[in-house]
Amino acid sequence: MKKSHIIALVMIVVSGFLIFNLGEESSSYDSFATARERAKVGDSKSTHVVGKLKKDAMGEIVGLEYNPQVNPNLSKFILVDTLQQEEMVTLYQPLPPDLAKSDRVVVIGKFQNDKFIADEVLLKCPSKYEETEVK
Amino acid sequence: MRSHIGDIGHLFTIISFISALLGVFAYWNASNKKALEEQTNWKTFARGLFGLHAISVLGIVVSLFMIIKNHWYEYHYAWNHSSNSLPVYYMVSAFWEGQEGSFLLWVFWHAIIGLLLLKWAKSWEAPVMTIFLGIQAILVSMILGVVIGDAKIGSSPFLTMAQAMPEAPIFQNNPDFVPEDGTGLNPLLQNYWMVIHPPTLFLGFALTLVPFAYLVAGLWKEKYTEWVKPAMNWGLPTALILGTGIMMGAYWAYETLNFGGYWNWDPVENAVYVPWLILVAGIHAMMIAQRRGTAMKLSTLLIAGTFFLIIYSTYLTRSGDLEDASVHSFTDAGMGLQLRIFLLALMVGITALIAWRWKKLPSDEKETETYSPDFWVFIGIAVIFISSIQILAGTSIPVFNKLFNTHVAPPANQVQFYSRIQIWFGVGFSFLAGFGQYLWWRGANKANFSLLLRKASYYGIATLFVGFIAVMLTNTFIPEIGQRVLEAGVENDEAKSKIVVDMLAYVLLFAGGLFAIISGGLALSKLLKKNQFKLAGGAVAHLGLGIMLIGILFSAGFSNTLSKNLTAEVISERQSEQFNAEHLMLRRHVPKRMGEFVLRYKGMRFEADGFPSFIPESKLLPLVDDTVLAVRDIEYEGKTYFKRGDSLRIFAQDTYYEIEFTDKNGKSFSLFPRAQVNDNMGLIASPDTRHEFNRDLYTHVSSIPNLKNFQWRGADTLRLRVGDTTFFNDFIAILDSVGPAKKIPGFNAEKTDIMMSAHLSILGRDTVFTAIPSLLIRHASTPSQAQMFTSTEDVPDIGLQVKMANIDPKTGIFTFATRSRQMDYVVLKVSEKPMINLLWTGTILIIIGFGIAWRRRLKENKETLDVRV
Repeated sequence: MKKSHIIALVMIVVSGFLIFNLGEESSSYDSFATARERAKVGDSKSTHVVGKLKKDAMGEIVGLEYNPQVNPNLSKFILVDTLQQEEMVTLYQPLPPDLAKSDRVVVIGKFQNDKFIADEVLLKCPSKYEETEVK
Repeated sequence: MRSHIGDIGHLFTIISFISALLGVFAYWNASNKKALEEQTNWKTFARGLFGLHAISVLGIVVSLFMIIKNHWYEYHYAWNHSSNSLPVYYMVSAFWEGQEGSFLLWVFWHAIIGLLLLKWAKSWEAPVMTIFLGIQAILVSMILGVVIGDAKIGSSPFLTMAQAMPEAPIFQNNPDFVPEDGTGLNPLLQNYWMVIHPPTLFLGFALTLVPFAYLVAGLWKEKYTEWVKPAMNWGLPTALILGTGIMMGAYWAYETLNFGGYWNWDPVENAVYVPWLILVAGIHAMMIAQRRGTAMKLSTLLIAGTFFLIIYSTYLTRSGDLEDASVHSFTDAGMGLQLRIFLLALMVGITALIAWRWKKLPSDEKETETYSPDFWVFIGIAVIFISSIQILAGTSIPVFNKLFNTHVAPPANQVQFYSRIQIWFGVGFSFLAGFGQYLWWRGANKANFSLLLRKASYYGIATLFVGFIAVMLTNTFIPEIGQRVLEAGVENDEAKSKIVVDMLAYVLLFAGGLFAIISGGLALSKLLKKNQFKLAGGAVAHLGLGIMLIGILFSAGFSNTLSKNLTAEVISERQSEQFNAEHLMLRRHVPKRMGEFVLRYKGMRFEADGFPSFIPESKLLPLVDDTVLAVRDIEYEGKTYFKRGDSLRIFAQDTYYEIEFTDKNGKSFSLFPRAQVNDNMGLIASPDTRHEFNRDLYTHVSSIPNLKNFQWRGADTLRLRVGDTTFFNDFIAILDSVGPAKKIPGFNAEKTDIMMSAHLSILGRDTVFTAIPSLLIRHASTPSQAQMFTSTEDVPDIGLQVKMANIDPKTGIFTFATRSRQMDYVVLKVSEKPMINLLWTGTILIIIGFGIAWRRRLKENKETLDVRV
């Protein structure tokens, strides 16, 4: 066996391992219902839930909870997932200041004791490029 | 001019597109015709076309810049990316904020580089410029904005508002409506790094085309080895500039964004990092190709791969296909389809060309011997390649989803996913860089190899030992890692083993970095002794790599949140909450202990044009927009810049929060993290960083109260004589004096007016605040017409408002009306980045190393450049 063959073999094995690792580490897009199912069967991986903030009839966002004077590291908000299911999301961080401005919210986290705990919140703000209002 | 400039710009775009296409045709002929005279004629014609092309590109740039500079808001680009208050230097950034402008920047650099090629490419000019202009034409087509049938080709930056937003009701009623002001530049981009980072990065992008064009010309004209020299000459500055551009972006992110670091493994970052890595691998391969005439196939693949990846990264970040995966990628501006076609065509084209010529490419006759430094360079290239595969595969998940209609999400913790794997590649890079350099300067051969290997392994073992000690010591000083064990739950075996693996990687990375430093340093000193500094490019760059990797290890691996876990409660049932508590709330003027520091939030600060420092909010009274009134003299180092009563303009969009840090020795300094309140984006926080020799202290606000929700309440009336002491809202206050005032801020006094000011001292915890409520009586001589005006004095530091309501001349009693409100506060996060200066030092050394290597190749390759094609 030539050296170059050995190197090629090692490269293939390592690349294969990395692709396998990517498969293992990659997450999934879930609804709250499927995320809850995952937690029930003992899957401890974090998942992505896409949704919108809950709004009342007037279009005002409801259910934002953040009281820094009591605990600056605890915030809660209500997310409505793509299947229209509502869920209270708990985040052990300050409430993202631009949360109320975003039209789409992705929470990355998992259910723990039947509470959805988010590790991270990604916000998709209405992009400047899609600006349609002219003042 | 104003109403035609859009058409002029658009016309220039069309001319530049057509001249590029004709240029391809002319250069093609120039390189294919047999007769020398025909060749020359076609070449002259082609050069003329390129001149026309370059001029029209300049024309596009000038037209667009005029639109932005002159605030011609009937053009959508100006409206969307600029505003009246934007300073000129940020208008430059506004220019490339949009998709179209950044393509234009890229096209512009191509035009400049093309002119240099005309000067330097000599006999390569015709075939190289054929390729070069072909790609350039495709790029210009992205901003063409021409509609043919149903298909729209490119997105023009010269659209008017009505063209860009036909749906907007205002344009349906009045198509000629011109907005008063633009929507402004994204505040995150209003940073000096954003003025220079994009041009540098795009210059790097543009330069990658040159080695690629030489490669394709070489394959086409069957100059399978000759292309390497010019490609090397251009490849080195490309790697230098692209690398500099990437690191400028990292530095910008560190200085401006609040994710807490310089590298987030975001798809936008990965998409430019991977082509750079492959280019560096390509330079290593070409180095061997130049030295030995081997590795031709490898060089071909890597240089082709670099350019392909540049286009792939363009597709990733600009087609809109990554919209869900990245926080800051562009949305599709209507060129997604075009980019997909370009990418596909390029992929097919490159593959076909290489496959067609593959048999003719020189193969390496025998294998490189293990004792040769080149062998270790090959291993290094293999490691770079696999490292790139991992990043690329992870970043391409959204593309796989599109292709196979799946719904896989990226890894939940992106940073951990990449960092935990890439650290091992860092270990590989550093040891190989060190070992390769060592073998090279010791002149490794078959006879001495085993001796050198033994010596190198002594160094290796020594660095491992030092690495072990260094990491363990750091662990003791920075208990973050230990906390991570607790966080995961000590019972959790998987988490524990993960930490052990991480620690092993840290030790190895430190050792590898040190190894690269030692070997690079030895090589450098050897070369300096022999007076051969011109050969030191590799030594300096690899030395820099070692330093950089150690800097990354400490600043990222041992980044330590100082504002974490302040409560004394140790592990409790609320464990995860406690360990996630990374932010702390500071009430104004209430000191709070944080590790070695006592922190105090001292209030909001503003910047004003012409004033060298920050102005406390308590000295300012807002009027309209950016204009405020000074209610105190505003001084700096003994010089008074604004007097009480002056009106001045501040940069109202930026609020700075002064946080005072006092250490154990009582020494204190302040950091000024910034927040911007933006209509489109909400609150945008930017950090402030204290650069110390061995670490950075990094802080940003994560939440601020909405002061509009702070109601004034507790109205009270106080009657005081001069010298009286009283309580204001739990503070002791003394009425020091009352006297005639010369000027009351905000009042236009008439000659006959009587003006009085009271001087109140309010004793804070360790500061004395003053309030100067004033009063003006008009027509005092005719009591029937007399009018009284009072000024409201805010003392934001203690949440108090006071007014002088009345004066009783008979009793000497002054009546004050007071109101108070809740004290304001900030929530912030403070972290420490140990040894981050090593990262920047290493980066600069790598850049210098590329520079030295470039200079050497330019000199050596000069004579041999002009190969007849």
